[in-house]
Amino acid sequence: MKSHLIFKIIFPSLVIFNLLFVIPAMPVYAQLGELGINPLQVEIGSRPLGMGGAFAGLADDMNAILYNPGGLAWAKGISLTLKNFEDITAVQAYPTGFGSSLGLAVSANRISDIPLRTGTGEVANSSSDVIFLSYGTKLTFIPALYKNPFFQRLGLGMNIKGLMGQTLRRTNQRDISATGWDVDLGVLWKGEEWWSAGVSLQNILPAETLGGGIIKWDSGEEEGIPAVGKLAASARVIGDIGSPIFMEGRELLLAGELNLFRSRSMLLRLGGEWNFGKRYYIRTGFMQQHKTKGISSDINFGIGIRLERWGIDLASYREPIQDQRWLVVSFLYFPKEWIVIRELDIEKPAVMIEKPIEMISLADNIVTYDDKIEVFGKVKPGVDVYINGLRAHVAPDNSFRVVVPLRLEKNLIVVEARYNGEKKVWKYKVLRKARVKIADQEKVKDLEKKREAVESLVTMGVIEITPEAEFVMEAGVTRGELASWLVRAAEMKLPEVKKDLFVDVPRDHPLAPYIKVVTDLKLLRPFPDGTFRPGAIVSKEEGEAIFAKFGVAR
Amino acid sequence: MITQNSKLKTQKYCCFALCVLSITLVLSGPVYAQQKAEAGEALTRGEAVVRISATDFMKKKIGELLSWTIGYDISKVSRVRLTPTINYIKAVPRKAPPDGRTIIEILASVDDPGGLKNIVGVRADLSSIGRLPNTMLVDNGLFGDEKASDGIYTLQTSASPMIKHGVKEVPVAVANKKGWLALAKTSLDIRRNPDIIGARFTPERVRAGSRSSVTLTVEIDNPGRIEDVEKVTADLRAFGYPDLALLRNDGRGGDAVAGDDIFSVQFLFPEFVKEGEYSIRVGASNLVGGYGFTDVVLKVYK
Repeated sequence: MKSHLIFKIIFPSLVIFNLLFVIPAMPVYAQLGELGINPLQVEIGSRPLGMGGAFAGLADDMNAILYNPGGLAWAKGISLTLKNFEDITAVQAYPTGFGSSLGLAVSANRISDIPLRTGTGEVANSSSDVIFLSYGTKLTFIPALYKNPFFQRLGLGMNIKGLMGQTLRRTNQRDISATGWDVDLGVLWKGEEWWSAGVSLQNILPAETLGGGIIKWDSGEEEGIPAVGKLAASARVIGDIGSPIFMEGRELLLAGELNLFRSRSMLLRLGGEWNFGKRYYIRTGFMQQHKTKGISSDINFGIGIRLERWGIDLASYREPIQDQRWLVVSFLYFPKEWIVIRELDIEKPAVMIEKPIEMISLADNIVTYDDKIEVFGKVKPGVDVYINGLRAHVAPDNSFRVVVPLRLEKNLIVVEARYNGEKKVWKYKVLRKARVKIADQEKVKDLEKKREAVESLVTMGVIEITPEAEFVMEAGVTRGELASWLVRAAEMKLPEVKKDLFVDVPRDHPLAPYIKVVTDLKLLRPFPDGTFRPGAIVSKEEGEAIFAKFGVAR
Repeated sequence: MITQNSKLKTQKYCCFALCVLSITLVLSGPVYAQQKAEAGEALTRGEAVVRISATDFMKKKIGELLSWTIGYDISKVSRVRLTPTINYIKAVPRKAPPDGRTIIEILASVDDPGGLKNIVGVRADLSSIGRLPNTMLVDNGLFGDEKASDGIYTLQTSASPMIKHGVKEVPVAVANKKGWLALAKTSLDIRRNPDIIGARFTPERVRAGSRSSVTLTVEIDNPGRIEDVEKVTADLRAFGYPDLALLRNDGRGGDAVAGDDIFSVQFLFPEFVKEGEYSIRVGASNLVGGYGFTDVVLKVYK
């Protein structure tokens, strides 16, 4: 019901807002417009550029300030991006608690040797310094909306941008400088954990409103600031639980956006990001930009690495005005102490098994024979715990303890801590093996090897044995048993048995389908008297011949 | 010619002998193997298991079974129902006054995959009606619970006089011995004033000048018990009656059933009343000081 609200109210409102304010604010191009420069549209940051600039629908880090301030509510950290030593952008997103963040960005941008008239050698050099003051929120600071899941998914943001100094130097012309300011608005809607959509309206202040929405040159001229409307979306199509395609330790993010202008062509941007263990990142994207005349369409590339608190991103993209390819580098810092609300700062709950047989490589990779496992822990007040999607009872002392049943083979236990729409998820991998009692273990050579083998086969369902039954290792294997084990191991399709197979194997014999398969394949042959004798023992020689057909030598 | 015939015959005999030998060997294979097995050269189950495990396809499958990076996807999350079930929750009465004495019963019918014995506690958060946030419901046949161990847990409470009027939600949580929780909630309408949900004259129209008997019946929805309705009155002064007429709920004087939520009064319609539409105010008051009223019209025609 509420999800329709965004489509019924918010998006139409933005469209109306766009029509009322953005379009009338469209500029009459002048000094910078002729060169295709928009000093108040700062598109930098190695991660967004590596993804072709398609970041307004993702906006999940501090670069949200530059692309869609609606995403600022989820952002945290500092980024320093260098194109060269004159082009430097610093961005910071600081969470203030209650789903809100403050943002600050400073960008120094230099574009040199822009050709003015072909063949004359006349060039222009532009330099600009822009400062952003931003605020992004999920509106959950309003008590009435605090627990509403709808508002936990909706981010609203606003930038106030000041052009602190714009200088334009042109051959044979007087140097001029300018100042100005404008406003951006952004909305980010996280529909599900794996997808989000956003609208970003940049430079939307109507011209001359409170002295903004315009660039004022020291020569007395005024120049409008082109407004941009971005419609964007992103999806994590491959990733952890909650993604359409589950792949542990890998993520594929896809993003796309349309940039809409009134007097210029629409731009398309598409991008993708593939990460390995949330540590190594590879990015690419298709980026359209306006250049002095026409549109530049290019493929961008990027790589990145993330440590716990640090990260570095690199991106290669084309600067459209200079028509020159650049490599930009971003240094990232994510201060841990910048967490205002620590309700979900909870240790991974402990998992207890009564009789662990081994712990492999990691503490949470557990092998057990038990048909259940206990998960227990303690949470902070107000935090709800869900295990495999079911709610656990949290005692008055904020502890919980639940028993999770395990099935044979692999089990994934998903533990979630939820607090006011936020959640933290841990996963535990548990392999439950079948316990097999060996009746004659004192007689068996290589007992452990054989025990391990038989347990694996029972776990996979190749050998069927009831939990109470004992497995006699040194007893001869019967023809019926071997037939069923072979067929199950090779996952051969069981035929329908419509008539009696042999004198002693009627069609309703429990092993009839298996016996039919092995006799059809001539793995086991019937006796001359027309019997199969499923209970007869297989000789070593016969066994060798059978396993030789599977490529297993003695 | 003779030589050729004898050669052909020899070939035929040879072929026949070879066929017989082959068939004998093929058919006697299992017999021979069985004899060998019986002679103590059997393939043991342990050997068979090791050999099966050594096949290429099983080696791959065992490798996958023991791998921590393959196969742990969403399908490996158990979807077995482990939480208790709340069949229904209800509050009786659903409307109650905030008087601190009208008994409100919270009833929760619960179940559990492990049986009712697996239920460890059923608790209600009564903070919305000014009571304790963690109050236990019981299924022991006492404290208002009708029958022990029937899966219907009961709690008797009342709404605090300090709380505001309005619809209040009462969440109920059921926990089982294995640590799982189920949540559900019911709602209570806390208000003081009785509602008059229906009022009508029988007959609905009366002829002017006739001395006919008219019955006024009024249906009351009182927060709490119907017994707590203090009085229901009708202002019949327009028909010449000097005092407010008291409606009855004792099964007499035009009232059909005693003790139900329908109150009635029977009166004689006076001759002097002229034609027109007469709006009669009906009011109901209860023991907690609540009052509700409505107007009902009697048409008088020529």
